[in-house]
Amino acid sequence: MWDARFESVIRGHLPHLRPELPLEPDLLLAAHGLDSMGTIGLITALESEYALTLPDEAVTPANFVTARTVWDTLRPLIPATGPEAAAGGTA
Amino acid sequence: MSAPRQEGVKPLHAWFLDGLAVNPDGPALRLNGRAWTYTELHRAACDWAGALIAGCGGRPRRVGVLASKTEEAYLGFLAALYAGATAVPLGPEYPVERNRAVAAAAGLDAIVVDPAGAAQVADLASAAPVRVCLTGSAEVAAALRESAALDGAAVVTPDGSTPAEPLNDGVDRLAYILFTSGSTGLPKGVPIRHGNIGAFLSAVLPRYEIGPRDVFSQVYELTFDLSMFEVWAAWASGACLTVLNRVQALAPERVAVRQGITFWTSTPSLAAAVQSRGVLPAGALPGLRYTMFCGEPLPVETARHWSSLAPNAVIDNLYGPTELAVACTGHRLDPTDAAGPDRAVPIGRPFPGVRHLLLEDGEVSGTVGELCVAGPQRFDGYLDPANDAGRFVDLDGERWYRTGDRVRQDGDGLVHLGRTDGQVKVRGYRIEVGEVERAVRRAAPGLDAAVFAVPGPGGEVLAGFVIGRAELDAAAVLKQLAELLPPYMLPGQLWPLAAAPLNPNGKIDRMALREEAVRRVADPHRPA
Repeated sequence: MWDARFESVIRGHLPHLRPELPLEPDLLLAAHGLDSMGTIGLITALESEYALTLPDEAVTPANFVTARTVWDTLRPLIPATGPEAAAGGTA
Repeated sequence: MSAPRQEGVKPLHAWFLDGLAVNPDGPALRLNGRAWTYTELHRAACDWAGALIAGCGGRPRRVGVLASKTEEAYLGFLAALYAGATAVPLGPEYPVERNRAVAAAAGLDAIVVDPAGAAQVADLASAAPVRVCLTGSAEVAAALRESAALDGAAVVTPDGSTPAEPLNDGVDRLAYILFTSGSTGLPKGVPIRHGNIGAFLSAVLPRYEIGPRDVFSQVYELTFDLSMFEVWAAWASGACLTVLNRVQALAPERVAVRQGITFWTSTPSLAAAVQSRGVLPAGALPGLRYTMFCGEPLPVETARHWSSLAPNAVIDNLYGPTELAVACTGHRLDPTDAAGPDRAVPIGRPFPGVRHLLLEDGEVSGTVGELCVAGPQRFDGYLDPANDAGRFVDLDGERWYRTGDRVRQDGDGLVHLGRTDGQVKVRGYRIEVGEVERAVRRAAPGLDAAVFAVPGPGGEVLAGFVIGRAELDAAAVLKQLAELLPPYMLPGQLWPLAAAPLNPNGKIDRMALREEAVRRVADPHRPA
């Protein structure tokens, strides 16, 4: 569904998700330690990882409920330039 | 209970009409990428007010606004006032049992609901004489009609067919009723008259040079009266109200800059949370002209950090309980103020029209005591008169509201010293720990509880003990608590304790328990 970079950034912001457990698409991020402050950190990390800027209207709690909602928010914004980004965008 | 009309009192919505007069084509509200000009918002509010009146078969008396930062929240509040009714904000994220108690106590005869509130609306309508339920969402309306759960109440999506002009003489003299945490375990209704909130606006607006070019942040829910400043200071000035969600509010360097915000209203906790992110450079918020802090004591350190982020902002520290219509004293921060590192910023001088005295051991004191306030901002009493007991004192032919805040007179200003009771502030929300403890006892029958506000990594947090058992499924108790208390009142930590330490009087030694809670929050890995 998503690329390894995305999974790594998300996991880095879930202090309560044990590393051996899978990151399920519908896992509730809040239940694994992502609060509003963590969400800001996650946004900054994703913007830096993918060299993009989330528009203000995408910065809503509803877009950061599960890994799936985050990916659905992010994917259309990822510039499809490098082969890695293109692969991520079509996975 | 229709009260006589008060001649000469400006209704709250007339302050919006002031903004409409000076900036009819400018933006009044920006929300999730949508914008309304003053004229558009006014016409929509007329349509919604007309739908409320038509749906109730006459003027409604109390309109519940079960909505969170949606068009229903702002239009619903304004339309309730236009229709001559009292607005009663309700939080969709609050437990349904609590909202039902509010709906019943307020006697709602109409509800405005947004998609987030839709799940609760039938439960609330059955607790009060609700005649009509308004929503801007066709989907919500269709779902509510289909479920047929709203017996007796019509579901209406305003279509502009019955617009009403703003009414200046409401059914009663109240502008809004807010519900705050009550020590008896039930939320206390605080009715605020048009005259109370109007006196506040008259006193506070001259503190700022604001107008149609200003852009206000709107961070706080309408259930929290700090929002009444954001909304009405903006609208009275013809400025633009820009609604931010809780994630955006923590990143002012993004939204304040991109949205051109010039006036930022904040609890000290929010500013401290921004500070704790540690990534914002000095001068990150150059466009802010003003920041108003309110809701809890403002540490000098927090104010100074904010001032470094927003070097062009004039910083105001306001103080006041909901009962005195948002705020009744203010201190303008002077960057050259000398103060120790952990001193709080003074709460300053009483506003024009606000009369105060200090009460110490039943005597009026010139230096220190409980702050008591009279004047046009003072509410008349709680919705349930039983809550008035002990909250007022009659002196010199005047009825003074006892704030429960201990203050020291310092020159012509005031310094806040602390509370005289069990009320605490967590992220700006006032909480009676007694109400939380009562809920814990309900969730864990047969056990006792002691809950405290203690310093956490990002400000005060609630933590406490469930007393009477050495082992406890704390997660299960917390889950049950979530059915009884709004999110802001949920303890972050609950620890089981077989037996509580007792003081020499044989009572639970709350001082010792509090110290233990402070230790455990400071070092969660330390063995209990």
